Amino acid sequence: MHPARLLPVFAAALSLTRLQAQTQTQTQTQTQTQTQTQTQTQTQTQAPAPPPEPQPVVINIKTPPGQMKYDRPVISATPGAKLRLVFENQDEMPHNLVLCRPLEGKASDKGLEVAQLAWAMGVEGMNKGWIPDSPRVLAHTGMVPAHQKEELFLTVPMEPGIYPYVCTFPGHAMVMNGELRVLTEGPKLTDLNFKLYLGDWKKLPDYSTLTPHRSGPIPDKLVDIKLEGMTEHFGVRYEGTFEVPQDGRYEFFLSSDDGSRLSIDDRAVLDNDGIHPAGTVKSRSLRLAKGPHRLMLDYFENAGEEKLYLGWSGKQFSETPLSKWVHPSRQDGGGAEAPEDRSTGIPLGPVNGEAVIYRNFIAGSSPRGIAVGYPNGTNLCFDADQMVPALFWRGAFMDAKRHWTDRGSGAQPPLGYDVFSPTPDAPCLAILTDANAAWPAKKPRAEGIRFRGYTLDARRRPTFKYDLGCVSVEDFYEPVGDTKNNDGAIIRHLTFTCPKAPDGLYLRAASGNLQPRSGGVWAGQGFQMKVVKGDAVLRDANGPELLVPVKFENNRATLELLYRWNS
Amino acid sequence: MRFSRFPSRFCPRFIPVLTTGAAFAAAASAFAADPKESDYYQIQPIPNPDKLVLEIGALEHTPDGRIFATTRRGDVFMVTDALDKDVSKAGLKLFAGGLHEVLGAAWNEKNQSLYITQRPELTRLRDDDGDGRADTFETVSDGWGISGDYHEYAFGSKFDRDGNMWVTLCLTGSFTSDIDYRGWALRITPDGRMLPTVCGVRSPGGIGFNAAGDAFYTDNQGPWNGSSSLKWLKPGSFAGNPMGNKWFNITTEIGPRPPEPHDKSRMVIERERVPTLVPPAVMLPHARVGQSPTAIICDTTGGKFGPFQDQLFVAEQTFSNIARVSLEKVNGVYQGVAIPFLEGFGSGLIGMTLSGNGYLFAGGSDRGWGSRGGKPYSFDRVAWTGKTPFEILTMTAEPDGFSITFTSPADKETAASPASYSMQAWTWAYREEYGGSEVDQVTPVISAVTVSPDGLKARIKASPLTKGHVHYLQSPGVRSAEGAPLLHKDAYYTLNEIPAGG
Repeated sequence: MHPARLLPVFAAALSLTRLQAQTQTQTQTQTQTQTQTQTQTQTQTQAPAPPPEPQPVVINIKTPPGQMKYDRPVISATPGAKLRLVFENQDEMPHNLVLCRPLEGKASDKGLEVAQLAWAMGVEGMNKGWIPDSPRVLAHTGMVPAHQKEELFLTVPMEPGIYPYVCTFPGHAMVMNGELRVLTEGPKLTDLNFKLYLGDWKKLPDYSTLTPHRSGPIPDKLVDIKLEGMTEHFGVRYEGTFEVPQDGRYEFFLSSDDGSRLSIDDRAVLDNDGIHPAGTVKSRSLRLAKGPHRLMLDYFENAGEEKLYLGWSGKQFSETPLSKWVHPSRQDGGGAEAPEDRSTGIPLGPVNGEAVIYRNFIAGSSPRGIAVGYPNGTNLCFDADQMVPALFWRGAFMDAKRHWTDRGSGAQPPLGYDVFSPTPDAPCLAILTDANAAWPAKKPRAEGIRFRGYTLDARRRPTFKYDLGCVSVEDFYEPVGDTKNNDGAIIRHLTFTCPKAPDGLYLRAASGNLQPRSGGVWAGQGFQMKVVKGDAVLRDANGPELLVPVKFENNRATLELLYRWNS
Repeated sequence: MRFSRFPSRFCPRFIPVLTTGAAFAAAASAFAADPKESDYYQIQPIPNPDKLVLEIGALEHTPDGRIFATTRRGDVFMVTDALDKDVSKAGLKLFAGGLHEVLGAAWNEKNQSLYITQRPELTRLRDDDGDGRADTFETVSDGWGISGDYHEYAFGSKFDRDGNMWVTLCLTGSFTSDIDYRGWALRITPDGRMLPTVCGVRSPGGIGFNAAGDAFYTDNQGPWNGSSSLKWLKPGSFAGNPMGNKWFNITTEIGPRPPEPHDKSRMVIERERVPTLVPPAVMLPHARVGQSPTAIICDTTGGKFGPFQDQLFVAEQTFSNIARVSLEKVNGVYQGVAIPFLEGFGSGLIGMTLSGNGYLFAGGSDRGWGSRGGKPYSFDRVAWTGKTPFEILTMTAEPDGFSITFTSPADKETAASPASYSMQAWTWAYREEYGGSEVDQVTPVISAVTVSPDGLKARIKASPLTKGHVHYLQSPGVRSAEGAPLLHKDAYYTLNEIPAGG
């Protein structure tokens, strides 16, 4: 589908901006010519170079593959700015980007009104690149095919507001949208002084009873905590004034690490006291009369990170920082999600004393990973392509957010810590022609081994099953000890049955740099292991590896291996 | 199309919009009380008091009246008392969890097991200790490849007449075939053998069987698919997308590898060149009928769900609705008609099942794809009110036009008037590029209509007929014997073959 790139509405929107740009250029050129003439008549020197064209601000927006979203949910620009918007479709399906005028008198609708109009175009929509005939359409790309780019040049409108952008391909708009914030700066503080105090506080002290270590004016009138480069055990009282342009409501925004409190005209309006990170931004709306007002901001830092954000907004201007540091949620691209939202996942873990299973793409395993979390804080991921425990780790189990939001692309690493892999890069079982034969190399799926699934016991703990020829294997992992007491471990119980026991069957229990410790324990990379039942044979065919021969008795063999963390 | 189910926060300004049948809104509105879908079929939400995330991927029912609902998050829920007249009695219980995006579920009464298709494998689940939760998770077949790409969906069927399960494997990223059998339909025999059966699949959305037991799947608009469609999975055939053809090299089950179709061609032309190419049985015209067809279910309830015995219901993810399909076989090829059936579901439909006593269960999710329904997931029961809607029941091809039958007697005067109908025909390019517009438009002229004495059948003479085209019949002027308009006036017939004159 290659719809026309320049559709009537788009053409109109752009021709207007082009016309304005042209007019300006002409005026400038005329002035220039006059100047030039004067210069020439006076000095006869060389004609000066034409004035440089203002370089447009380049904004890149991409569609990451398979996520049905723009990579930038928020962009911002100043009124009248020239933008060069580069839209790169990295997805496998076509998308467009339609920049919409704000919805009158209301909060942003994320462009859904325009998207719904596009949807209602029905079959005709396909031929028109899903661009509806709506006055709200400010500028747009065509339907950009997979892995292609398109650029938009536009002049940002003079009216401040939220200009949503959206993919109008039917069905995409709900998740594929963002907003261009056209911002006007509000007034800054007209005057600002600080008093710096030293002390170890858990809550804001009453600074009026303390003697400042140092005090003075802040020349750029922006709240700044890097006054003496201190990072711990200090506090600051800021006192300043600001000018309210007209009677009305104004909103103040405060965030800090650690505590802070904002007072306006001697009245406490925002309290953010205590020891905490600068996560959420608190806000409070106030009615203020035109004219000067007094501001007092108390802050303290105990230890660790130190941050302080103060901002305000009004009817005539968008949120304007009054501090040097700007909260990430106020920076371009961060508006939709504060950092703490981004890290909040969908953590899974064992409940009711039962094990929990999560099958998905797990980083460090083949795509057929089966993660198991046990109530004692130990976890593993069984790789159903290689039939090995690909990963062991302690602590939290898995975060399902990657796979349970949007389309769920990519592999997710364990949520916990101390991850180790005792036998990377090879299948777990092999029949060797002799004790020195090389262990089979890793193939995408272990050759000759067929996965048979698993059964769950009363505590929902799986026993994995797989076959190698006539040999049926049951592979059960028993959690012992507890991570809380630092003695969490996993005992692997293997049972082999076969009507005709093969010769030369080995299990690979560990590989890599293995050091012997007392009591038959082997120390590997981030783990210790012991063959509790069975014979351990350390050899170096292609690097060190610990093999355990599978010896059948009455067509049956059992092995026990203990895996635990170093400390 | 109504947007009334859009939550108001997404719809700050209500936009009244009509897509299908917009041109005839005036004619229909002449009647004081036009029939509504809800007069005949009611959508009843399954109670979910615990706010479980029911991103339904597949639904199945058991003979004893339980419903199994599998989810994209890998859970399997058992719905109890789902067939009670009072839907509020239905309860949800977790049967199994920790599975990998389950998009297929089939109950095996013989071994009391639920066979689920998850991304990496077909798995048999059984509750061995009778505590209501599965203990056995037996891998029946994991013979296909997965590369770790999220788009490599695996949709599973119910059991076919031979006890096989069918699995359709989406292409890698829905565009390439990076690992074995992406872009194929496979059968898994009762003893776990995997039989590669049909190649040429692109991005499937569901598999089902017609009344005769033949397998069909839905495929989404994209490369080599000008529009979404319902395709017949004829064993040994080629379904149209050549990306997966390389895997003919590793199977001896079928072959030989078909010749590559020519790009920017037409299905009717390539059918002559590629002998195993089977044309889509029923096109589901993009942006008219839907955009992402999913589950397929055949009405075998013997009239407990209304007058549509042996017809197929096809669910739709983007439009959050269900279409109805009536099939016939002409010159050995399936073809037939798609007619809108029921709209207004809360989210994008993915799974469906129809219980023996005539309740249709439908559920789905819009995660990552968006849908008209507007909710992140939905799970509903559809109950027939017992009233028969006045509908086109079947549409079949004739050498010189079409025959349509009605669910109840039509008013003979309006049904016999050519002015009550209109027809357009078109097709799509058969090409590698994504999707495409309707092309090669033709406007057949309806010259005569004869109605049977009982008013149940109309024989429509239309010319010209174009082989390979969708023939879009609109019947805004037809009235029932009681004077009501058709509940759905649009019918899209895919004319793969024109029957020979007799």
